[in-house]
Amino acid sequence: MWRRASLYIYALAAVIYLTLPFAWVAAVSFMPEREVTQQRWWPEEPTIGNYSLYFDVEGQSADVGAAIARQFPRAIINSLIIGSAVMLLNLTCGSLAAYALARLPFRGNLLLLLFYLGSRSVPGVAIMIPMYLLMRSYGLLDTHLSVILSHTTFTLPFTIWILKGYFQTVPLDLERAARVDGCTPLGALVRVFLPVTTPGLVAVGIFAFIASWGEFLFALLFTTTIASRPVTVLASDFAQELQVPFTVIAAGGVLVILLPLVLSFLFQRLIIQGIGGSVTG
Amino acid sequence: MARVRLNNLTKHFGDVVAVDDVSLDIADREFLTLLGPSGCGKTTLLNMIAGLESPTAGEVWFDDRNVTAVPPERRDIAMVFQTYALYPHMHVFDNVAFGLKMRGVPAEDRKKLVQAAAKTMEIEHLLDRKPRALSGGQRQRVALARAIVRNPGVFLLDEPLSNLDAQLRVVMRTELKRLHGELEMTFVYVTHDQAESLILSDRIVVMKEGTIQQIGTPESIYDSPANTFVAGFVGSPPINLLKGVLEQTGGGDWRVVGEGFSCGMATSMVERMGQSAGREVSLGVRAEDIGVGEVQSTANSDSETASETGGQSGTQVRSVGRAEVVVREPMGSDLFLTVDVGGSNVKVRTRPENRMDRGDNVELYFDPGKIHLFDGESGEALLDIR
Amino acid sequence: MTVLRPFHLMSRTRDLLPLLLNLPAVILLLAFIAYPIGISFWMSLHRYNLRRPDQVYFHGLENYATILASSEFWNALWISLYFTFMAVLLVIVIAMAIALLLHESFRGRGVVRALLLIPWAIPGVVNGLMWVGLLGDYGAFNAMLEDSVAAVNYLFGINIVYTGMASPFVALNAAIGAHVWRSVPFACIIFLAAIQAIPTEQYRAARVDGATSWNRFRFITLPWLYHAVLVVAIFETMNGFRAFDLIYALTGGGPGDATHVIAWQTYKEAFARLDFGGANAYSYLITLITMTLAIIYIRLLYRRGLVQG
Ligand SMILES: Nc1ncnc2c1ncn2[C@@H]1O[C@H](COP(=O)(O)OP(=O)(O)OP(=O)(O)O)[C@@H](O)[C@H]1O
Ligand SMILES: [Mg+2]
Repeated sequence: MWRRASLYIYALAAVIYLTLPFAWVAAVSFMPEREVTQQRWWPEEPTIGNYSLYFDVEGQSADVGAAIARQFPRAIINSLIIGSAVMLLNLTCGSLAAYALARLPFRGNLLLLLFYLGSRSVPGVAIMIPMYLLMRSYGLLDTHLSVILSHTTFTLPFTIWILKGYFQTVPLDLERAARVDGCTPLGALVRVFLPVTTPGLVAVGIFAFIASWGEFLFALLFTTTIASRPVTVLASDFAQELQVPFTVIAAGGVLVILLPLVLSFLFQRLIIQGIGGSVTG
Repeated sequence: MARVRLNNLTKHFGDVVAVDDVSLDIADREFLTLLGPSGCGKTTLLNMIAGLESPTAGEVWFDDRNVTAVPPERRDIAMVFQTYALYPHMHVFDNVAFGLKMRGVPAEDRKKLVQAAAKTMEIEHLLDRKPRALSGGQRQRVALARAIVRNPGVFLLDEPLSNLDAQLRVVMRTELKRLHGELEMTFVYVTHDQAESLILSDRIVVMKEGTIQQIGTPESIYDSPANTFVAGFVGSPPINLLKGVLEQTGGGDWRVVGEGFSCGMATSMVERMGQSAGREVSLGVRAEDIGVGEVQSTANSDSETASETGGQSGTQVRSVGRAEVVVREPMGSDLFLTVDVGGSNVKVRTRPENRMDRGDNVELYFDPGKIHLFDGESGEALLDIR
Repeated sequence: MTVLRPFHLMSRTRDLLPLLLNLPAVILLLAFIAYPIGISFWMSLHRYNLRRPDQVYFHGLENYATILASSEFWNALWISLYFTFMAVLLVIVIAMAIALLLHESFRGRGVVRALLLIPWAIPGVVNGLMWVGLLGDYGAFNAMLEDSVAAVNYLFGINIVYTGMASPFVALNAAIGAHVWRSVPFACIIFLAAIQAIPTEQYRAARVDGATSWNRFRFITLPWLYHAVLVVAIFETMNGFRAFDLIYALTGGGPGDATHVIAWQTYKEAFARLDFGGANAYSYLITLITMTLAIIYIRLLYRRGLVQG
């Protein structure tokens, strides 16, 4: 009985820790400005006024920050384009490499593995200047492509690492059975291996997407206008405008978070199993 | 329908020699078993027949076709894997139909063939389930159905029963034998269970560390093992092996004398072996070829003379020595006694009515026609007894 | 033997396929990580300030000498080390606690598990903005901190002045707290998987042997989690050293230089002072530090035979 009770207290503490910061911001986003100054936890008179600025397509509002807020839908589309491309590149390049590492014994596989691990340990700030100059020299500044490429390179090593672990959990006999059943090596890959590993692929795909959605440094460096600016950069631009009330910033934050949050809820099981299992496996 | 020939097949994995210079000729529709302990290269050999592993050296022939470099999808084979390897993302029907589909069999024919195979394996009611919703035995049937549905020439089975519980294993064993009778296929069956191999096979190939130890029918493997390894591996309980020396008595009789026993040999037999006195040998005798009797009340030497005289009559068997019962294991239809012969344990099978128990002294009798002699050093058989 | 030959050829080509499959990834990483790292090193040996584009010239290790002699660098390095050390420690402890909780079975576990990913899904910048609010003048956490400081003052009869994020101590530790909060879920996922991989018989056996629950944790769970803890430590060390977006949004490096972590310092060097030569030297030093740490960790993993090729 005691054990039960303390377990629930423990669980409650965990829930509070994990949710409270975000819950407060979400609550604030529904508060009228004056309620924030009263240090409230819950909106007395909830309003969606803070959000209206972001959907002010006609450009009616003359509020502070309205000019930036109006760009939100566009920025979300930019983030979507970038995130999806990063996800696809990760899945294609990552699964090919991971398949080779997991399945085909070959000379130099350890070297490659260390190369991937090493790339992963290079911090973004360490390569930002050369990357910036590189993108500039190819005329890629302020394009989606520059952000996509940079995001792909820093997510890819992790993707390969995870997928290698995940692929190794699939019994080799499955592909052998497919070969005996008449598949070519490629056929066995496409008809048996890929369907069986779909959960893992989805998990790393979502992972790469969310990582790209949340990345800031390269997005900040490479994008200058709304033609390519993703939503994280816009959110920080917005917050740096003086005078913008925190309630409105909070609403913007909630909008930025919404998609990754929904994705992580939907694919929670896959992510926890797929990522956790193969990192330690 | 296919005859399979392996010519000097060898497979190295780095420094490991998994299969070492194996040559085999498997007849069409034969049931051939590869038998050996774990890690002896059975799976590797099977995989080379399937084309899943390319040999380091040697050739594989199906009938008159050299298939050594032919990939598995273009060999006429089907395989049942130790882990079954059912496709987890497909229903049972699609699992069974997959091979047909890959070979371009039209949908209606597929359906008919799958139904037929499902009927043979009695899994018709499982066709729309996913593999994870099946029990071990059901999975095994599905794996078999998936293999037989294509009616391949060669049917490869890698320890298909090893993941089943003991009872189911017996049922499926019978099933396999029936299947082989019905289907006109060559079966190559891998197992490390000697009983399975004795029951199922036309011929058995006993392997050890990548090399073939003996090829033969179950009877010949059991009755005339080529060496102590085969003798010890085939048969349950394992054969009793006793170290001894070949000696000739003053009367010209031959016998094997070791610690605590002295076993007479037919002179003709020894002569056929061309052996000389003083040679170190291992004497092998199976539990069922040993008799135990009450110790005669007379003194030891008297009893020996008595048996010897009896032996000359040709009907009575001489005692080979005295032993003490160490363990008594009743097994229903049989009773197994472990007795101590000069410090070595010997297993004896007798009838369950026998009342002998721990601590009793007994007289041991070996059936002279069922004795195996092996070289004391190499372990090679000195003589085929029949 | 002549039959050997075709297979030798086959094994050659067999080595080719996996390399081919790795090619796209390798090209991407070479082009956008290895090459920039090389350039970065080359540039770090130059005087290269965008304000003086006419004065670009090679001057060897001078940038490094300048940096190593500057107090800014050492300050940033210490702040980063403190930041990273605290972050790694806290992430491991908190994530472990939650993972152990999620391993227990109780009603509502699914809910906790679903909520686990919330902090992870929040972008670093937005996380920074959130904590700006939480710790700002009207923030909920600010109020709580204020109240607790007041309570402590009252209880002990002392007089600590609470100045919120204007205090270097509060700002740095708040940044650590925010960083940790966002990092916990990932570590927790790894720990959870590792805990679930522990065979339950081990616990049964320990229970039969009369081990207390603490001893079971100490002698079964922890050893089994050694690998997972190392993996998390690697990830979190790297993340700690590259913490940038949070600082950008939460403190802007301030107050003063209290939160000038090394990534922030590098960014300043490059894009505020426009000293690309110096910034590259900075970034090279960061790379060296994280690489060294990574190599130490990987060697630890190897020693345990936990990384296979
Ligand atoms: N892919 C491989 N790489 C390296 N060594 C291997 C490989 N496959 C098998 N071996 C080695 O070759 C030997 C024979 O293995 P094989 O799997 O054929 O044995 P087996 O007789 O099937 O054993 P079991 O009864 O345990 O299945 C073993 O020593 C094994 O370790
Ligand atoms: Mg095997």
